[in-house]
This record gives sequence, C-alpha cells and structure tokens, in this order.
Amino acid sequence: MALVDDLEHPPTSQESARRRFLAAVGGGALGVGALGAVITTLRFIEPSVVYEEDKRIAVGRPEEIAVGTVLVLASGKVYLLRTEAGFIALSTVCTHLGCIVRPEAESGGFACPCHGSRFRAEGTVRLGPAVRELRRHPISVEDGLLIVDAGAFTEDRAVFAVPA
Amino acid sequence: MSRLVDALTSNRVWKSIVRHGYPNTNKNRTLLVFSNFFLHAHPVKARLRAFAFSRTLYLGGLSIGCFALLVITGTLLMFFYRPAVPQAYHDMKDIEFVVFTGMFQRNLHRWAAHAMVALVFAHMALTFYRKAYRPPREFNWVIGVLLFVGTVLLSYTGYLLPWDQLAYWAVTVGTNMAGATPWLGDWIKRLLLGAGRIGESTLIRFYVLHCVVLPLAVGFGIGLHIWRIRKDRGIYLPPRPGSVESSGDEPADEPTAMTFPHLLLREGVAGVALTLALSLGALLADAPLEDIANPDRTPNPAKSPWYFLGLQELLHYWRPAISGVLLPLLTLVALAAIPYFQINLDRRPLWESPRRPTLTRLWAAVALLTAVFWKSGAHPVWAVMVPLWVIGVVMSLGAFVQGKRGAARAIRERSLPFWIFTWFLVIVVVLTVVGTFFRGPGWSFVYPWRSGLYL
Repeated sequence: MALVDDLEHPPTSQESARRRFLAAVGGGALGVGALGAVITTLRFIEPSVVYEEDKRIAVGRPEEIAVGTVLVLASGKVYLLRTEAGFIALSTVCTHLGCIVRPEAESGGFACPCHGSRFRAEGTVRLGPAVRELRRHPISVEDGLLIVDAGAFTEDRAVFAVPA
Repeated sequence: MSRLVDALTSNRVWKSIVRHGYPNTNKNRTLLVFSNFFLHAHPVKARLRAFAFSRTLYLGGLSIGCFALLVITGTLLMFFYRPAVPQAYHDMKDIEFVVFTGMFQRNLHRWAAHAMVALVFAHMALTFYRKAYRPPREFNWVIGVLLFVGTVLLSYTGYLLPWDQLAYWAVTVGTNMAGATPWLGDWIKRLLLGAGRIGESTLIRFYVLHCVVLPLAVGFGIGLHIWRIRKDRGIYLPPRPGSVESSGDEPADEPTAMTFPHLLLREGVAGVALTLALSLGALLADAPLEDIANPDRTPNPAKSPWYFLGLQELLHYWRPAISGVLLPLLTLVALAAIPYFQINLDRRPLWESPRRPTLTRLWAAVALLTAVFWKSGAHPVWAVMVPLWVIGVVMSLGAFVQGKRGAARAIRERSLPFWIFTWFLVIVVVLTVVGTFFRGPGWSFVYPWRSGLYL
C-alpha cells in the first residue's frame, strides 16, 4: 500500500471537494451516532418504572371523630385535622426541601428542622424560606371508613366535608 | 548489608526492572526520575524557589495525598460494604465494631475526605492571592475549579452510603435542591434518585458514582492538572526582583536543584506528615454514625457536614432555585472566569483612582447590596451584610491612611478584585460558622455558649 503525503502532493480541487463531501458525510454520521449513544445512555440511566407501595390509610368511622380532633398518622408524616368544615389531611413533608416538619408547641403550628420554615396549624406559611403551604392528601370514604391516601396529593386546599 | 544490596541489584532480573545504577551519581539520579513511570511527572531538576514550603504550603500536593489515602481506605471499606437497604447500615456497624481496625479505616476515610475539601479550597484561595493562574495557565485554573466541584461531589455521594439519618436527610435536601433547577429539575432529580424518593435505587446510584465514576474523573483531572503544570515548566513563580517577567523560559541564572533527592524528600516528608496527622485524628476521633435512616422522622436540627453548612444557611434565606442552584452556579462560573478577564493581574491599586468618586461608588454599591440582602430573602441576611460592611470600612481606610509600610501600605495597594475575592472567602467562612455553631432546633438562631452545640 502506498501512502501519499497530502502536504507533498496536494490533492486536485475536484479531489478536495470529494474529500470534503465524504468528510462531512462521515463526520455527520459519527456525530449523529454519538448523539444517539449519549441520549440512549441517559435514557438507560433514567428509571422506567418506579415502584411504590399502597399508602392508603383506613382511619375509622368519620362520624366518631369529634370536631377539633387531630390524629397523627403514618408515623407523623400525615396530620389529620377534624375542623368545623370537615377533614384536612396535612402532609408534614416540608414544601421547601422535603424534610419532615414537627409540631411546635408555642405556636401550635409546625417547624422545619432543616432550614427553619414555620407553618400554621392548617399548613399555611408563617415564616420562610418555604413559599408554598403544606400539601394535602386526598380523603375518601369507603364502606363507612375514612381513607387517607398518603401516596397522593390534592391540587387545591381540599377539605373533605363529612357526608350526611 | 551493602553486600546484600549488591546481590539484590546486580542480577539480571533487577536490572531488567530498574535500568539505571545506584543513585550516587548525577547521571543515575537523572535516570531515576526520567525513566520511572511513577516519577515521570517530575522534571529532573526543579527551580529552587519552587521548593519553599511557604510558597504553596504544599496545599495541592497534600490534596493529592488525601486523594491517595481516600482511594486506599475506600477500597478497603468496599470489601465489607453492600449498597443495599438495610444491609448498608448493618455493614457500617460491622466495620465499626467487628472488622479488625475497621473503625480506624472508616475514621481515616472520613477525616481524609474532610481534609481534602478544606485543602482544595485553601489551595484555590492561595492560587488566587499568589496570582498563579496568569497566562498561559488560565485553563489549568478552570480544571482546578472542576476538581474542587469533583471533590465536593465525592463527599456528597459518600455520605449517603452509611444509610444513617444524616445520610438520608442530607441527600433528601440535596436532591430536592437539584430538583429546583428550572426546566430540568424533575429529570435531574429522577436520574439521581432512580425512583420517586430516596431508596435502594438511590443508594446504588450514589455508590457507583462514589466508587467508580467520580474517583476516575477526579483522578484523571489530577493527572491533567499536573501534566499541564509540567508543560508550563513547573509551578508559577513570580519574577525575581530586578528581572523582567517572562512568559516562557526562565532566565538562565535561576538556581535549580536535582529532583532526586531534594524534591522527592520533601514530598515524602509531606506525605508522611499528612498520613500521621490524619491517622492521629482517626485514632482520637470517631466518625459519627447516627441511627438508621428513618424516612418518617427528620432529626432536629438536621445538619449537613460542615462544608455544606454555608449552603444550608443560604437555603434558609432564599428559595432553592436561587440559593441552591443559581448562586452556586454563578459562583462557579465567576471563579472559572477569573483568569480570562485578567482579574487581579494588573495589580492596579483601588486608591490610585480619584478618591471622592471611588468612595461614593463604593458606598453606593454597599448600600445597594445591603438593601438586596435586607429585603430579598425570607430573613435579613446578616451573615452576608456584616462582612460586607466590615470589608467596606477596611477598603475605605485605604483612602485615608498614609503609612509607607505594613498594614497601611497593604490596604492602600490592594486592587478591587482582591477585595471582592476576600469578601467571597469571608462570607463562605461566616456562613459556615453560623450554620455550624449558631443554629439549633428548627434552624433557629442560638448562642452556642448558652444552649450548647448542635452538631
């Protein structure tokens, strides 16, 4: 095989054009291939399935829970409030960065141990850095039992009115 | 004894491995460095001024020493550790109480990691003050900034692995912070967690990052960092008094000394001193291990390791997209950009410019920043405002002091970038100290001498 030094024997302009074309095609194919490999690898790392257990909690008969009662569920991750208007299932996961807030005796609300956000008893923000109020879980009644779904959240400030 | 050495070194097998004679001639000392794979990052001779401990405090070399210790102790710990729930935590207990010298190995790994974060940061600060990033070394400074990021990421991924309460909640906060990134947040968070929340899939991801991906990346980065220093003819040395600054070759009269034995001896002593100091620390102080991770209960207060407490303190003021994403990224970009804008290189003293307008501009800027730090956050940011005022006052003194020597001269001759970088260093330290000592349950402000330490 004879190797031709392109500095000693410069290619003709036609040959140069051909080489530029082939280089563009080849380089483009390599680039597309590399991009595909990067995207495929990222997609490989990204989880396709997320396994989660059923987190619905059967609390009890709603009519037996007196107005003003606060029930602590799921080892403290859910506070179920029975107010005049109905039930509120408050998530104690801080809306700032996800620590579990704790009840604060002096204010009757909640305090976050990680960055010091303060919430009122019904979850609204009293002091930052959190900006969103504590989220709420959907509540339903099945077979006469009050069910709190600790694995889901409601979009609005849901209050579950007790069915008559 | 010498006959034994002769017998060992005069046979064919030895000579096939080490192809030079005993280093008692300059030729063999040259060959020793030149032909040795492990020493080839060194020149045969180095400039004498580069040897001085006071020039670099050996901070870069000591950082590499920490990295080496971390690779060794980390590999040993891997023999006993399974990245699974709950085995990971039980394996930690085994390492501490059952494995022979396991507690010592774990302590050494932990203290070397802390030392590496501190040393790399100090190395960066000294490199700035000594102006060692000047052309053609700009890109090596950028590699250094990336190595600092790599060091912090290694620490961060490392502290999920014990699967204790600190691990769980620090990583909860960290991944939610990454999740606050605009647009990409949810995707980044899912990539890190491998699930909707922290669990076994997160643990194995962090394990792979901590034990394979990041050590390889940082190891490669260290190699590149050293190689570029070598290509730039060794570490940066300021021009000697009376000689002009040269960009390339050093002047012929620059005194040099042989790498063997002089430089290797110093490196050896520094390495042994580092190993002894960290080993002593590992014997005296045990690395903390809290209760097993409990997703239902956050410890109060939940504090990250000291090098993240400045960031945790910042998160107390602004929302995560600002404190956790924007400010750290801007800081890194600003750090990386330093050499490209010749920052602090032209050495123009701040008070060379007309005094009145400079003072006005300075205090207008201080007032503006004070207003921003007073009103923008959820709480007034004293930890940033007070250093700002103090440094503003010290800077202003330069306009009035007259002295020709000592502190007065030093204050008058500093440039604006010097003051900005110093302010950056001071707020990093102040935020870290406040987060470490002055924050208690509910992240409320406490005085450590009254309420004790919450660590």
